[in-house]
Amino acid sequence: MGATFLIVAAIYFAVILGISLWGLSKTRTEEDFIAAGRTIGPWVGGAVLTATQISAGTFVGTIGRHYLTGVSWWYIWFGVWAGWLVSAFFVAPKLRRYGALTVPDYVATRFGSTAAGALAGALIVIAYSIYLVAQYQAAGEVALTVFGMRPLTAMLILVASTAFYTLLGGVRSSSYIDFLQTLIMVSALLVAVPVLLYYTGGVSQARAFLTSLDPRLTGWYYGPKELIAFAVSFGFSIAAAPYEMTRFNSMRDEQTTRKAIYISIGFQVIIGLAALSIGMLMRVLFPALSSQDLASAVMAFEVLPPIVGALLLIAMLSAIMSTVNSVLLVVGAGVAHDLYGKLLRPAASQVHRVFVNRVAIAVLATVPIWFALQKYGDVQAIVVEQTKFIASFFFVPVVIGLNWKHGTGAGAIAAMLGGFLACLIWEFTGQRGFASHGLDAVEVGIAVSAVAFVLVSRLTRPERRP
Amino acid sequence: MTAAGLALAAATLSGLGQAGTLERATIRIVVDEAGATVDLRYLIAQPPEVVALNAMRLPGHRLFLLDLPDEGPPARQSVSPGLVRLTFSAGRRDTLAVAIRYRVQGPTHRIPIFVPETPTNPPGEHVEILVAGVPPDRVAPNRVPRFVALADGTLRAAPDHVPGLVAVVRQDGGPSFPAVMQWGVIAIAVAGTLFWAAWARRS
Repeated sequence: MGATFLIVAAIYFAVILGISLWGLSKTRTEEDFIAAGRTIGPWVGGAVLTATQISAGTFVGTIGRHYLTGVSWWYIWFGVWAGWLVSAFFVAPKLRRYGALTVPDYVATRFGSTAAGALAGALIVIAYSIYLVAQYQAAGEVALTVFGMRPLTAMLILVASTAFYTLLGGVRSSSYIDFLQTLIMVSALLVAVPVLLYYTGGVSQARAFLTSLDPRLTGWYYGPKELIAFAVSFGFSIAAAPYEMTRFNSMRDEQTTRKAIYISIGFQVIIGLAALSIGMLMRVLFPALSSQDLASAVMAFEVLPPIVGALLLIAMLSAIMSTVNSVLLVVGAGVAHDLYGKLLRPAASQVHRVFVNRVAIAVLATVPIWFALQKYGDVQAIVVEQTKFIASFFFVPVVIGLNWKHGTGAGAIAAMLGGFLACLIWEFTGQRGFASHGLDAVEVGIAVSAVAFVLVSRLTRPERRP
Repeated sequence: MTAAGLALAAATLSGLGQAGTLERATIRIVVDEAGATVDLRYLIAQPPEVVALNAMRLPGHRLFLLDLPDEGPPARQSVSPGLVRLTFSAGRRDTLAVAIRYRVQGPTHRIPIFVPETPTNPPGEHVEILVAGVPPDRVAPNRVPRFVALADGTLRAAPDHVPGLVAVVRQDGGPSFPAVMQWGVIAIAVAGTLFWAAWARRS
């Protein structure tokens, strides 16, 4: 497997490098770097949105969650897809009309408030740094399980390779790399499922084993309150996810963006069903793993034929890299375009802004490594945490702000701060009683954000748009 | 993510939540025409009061428990539609040694293993599986878990976790399904790349 993986990996990285260099040759301006010159079509766009969302959270976390808890976790996908549909109808088309390069850009333009845009940029950097922790941790788990490699080494390799191609070609090259990565992910998952079924003796055999092992695995491990809370968390965060919305800006037009979202949902249905099947079938094949997050790596290394196993490892790596890439583009732009470019050096040239963006990416890519080495929680739990924060501070000013014309800059600031703080405080207080009252931090965060947005907007006057 | 924990995540953060650690697992399998004889030896540190081992029930198989050492802990067997379960009363002790021998009668391309609910704690070589009695022309090209052939023809694997089954014997009739899937993927990838190159050239 080692030699096979190295050959497959070498081919993969060579192709990535080629696409990155091509992207570099086409990147001249900040718009080229952050928005690919707005040239991306629906199929590449759909693959971009899929690859951005499908991360270690899916390949390691979701498969691991199904391994541990069975079928009921699958229902959270409906929250995800509801979020995408909200995005398709209420967010993406209107967002493009503002001509913004980034989401904080949109916030500043929509509400006529540089302060609101800067706050959005700062919150994005914080929340997405948490997301990077999950990706790095997943990479460390996989590397340790499969190759016996130290997690720190794996993380440094991941950061170096992903940051490298992100720095080179920006959104343009990353879009085509995402297309390749989506194809790899879907192919690897679709091949893995029949192979696992072959070994477990088929669906009915696997189902009988799992039901006998623990009836909740084929029934309801989670109750409706928990599933709704998870689905709401994911749905709200997807509807207003900066790392996805940034990609809308790279597409040709509104119609392309909507088509891309539908195509992405199609890819996600396939991936979601495959992840469910794999998680549960791995519980049949290896019923007592020391951690559920090892299920996908053990499958790749111990069960699948060598080339398919290598392909799946590359798919996992692709999922992590594509998400890390998208997050780095967003946080890099958050620092360079929204904070540096708007507050510190508005007169900076295009070349200088692109340079600052690249430096920001290099720095922000390395800080989360330390946190990932501490392993504060399992991968899926960390991803759930950051979706709660994103949803709490962004959903209201973005989605409601796009569709309610009375929102003001002060209202947007109150919504972001109120949502963020409410979510944070509830996590340490009221969340402990979730089993009795069923109120999750994301629901509290969004509710407080909405109330703050409406109240403060009504009490203040809108600023003139810059 | 803090240790204060969330009611939502706490239930899933605990993982499989099994007490104890499987320190050592030694599995010896001898394959013959009619089936396989399996010897298992497990050493569990800090075991729970009741230790359970589960083996999947596969189509065409019959499982016979042959031998439990007299000096070992008392065991109970239960059968449900999907699995056979052995439970041992460990009581309160620092370690528990479990040794069982059983016979699997039926197709040998999949041999079920009794897996303790207590996991290993990788990395480290905690698990060793040896399979003897498989003629070289009957060894499957894709084996689960990953086996290597020793000089005397015995197959050896050292996975980090105990698998629910061992697949080393080639199934009768036709090519191996996993091999077909593998080469199918490569064929589709090559065909897709050529198609894309041709399309890119034309446009």
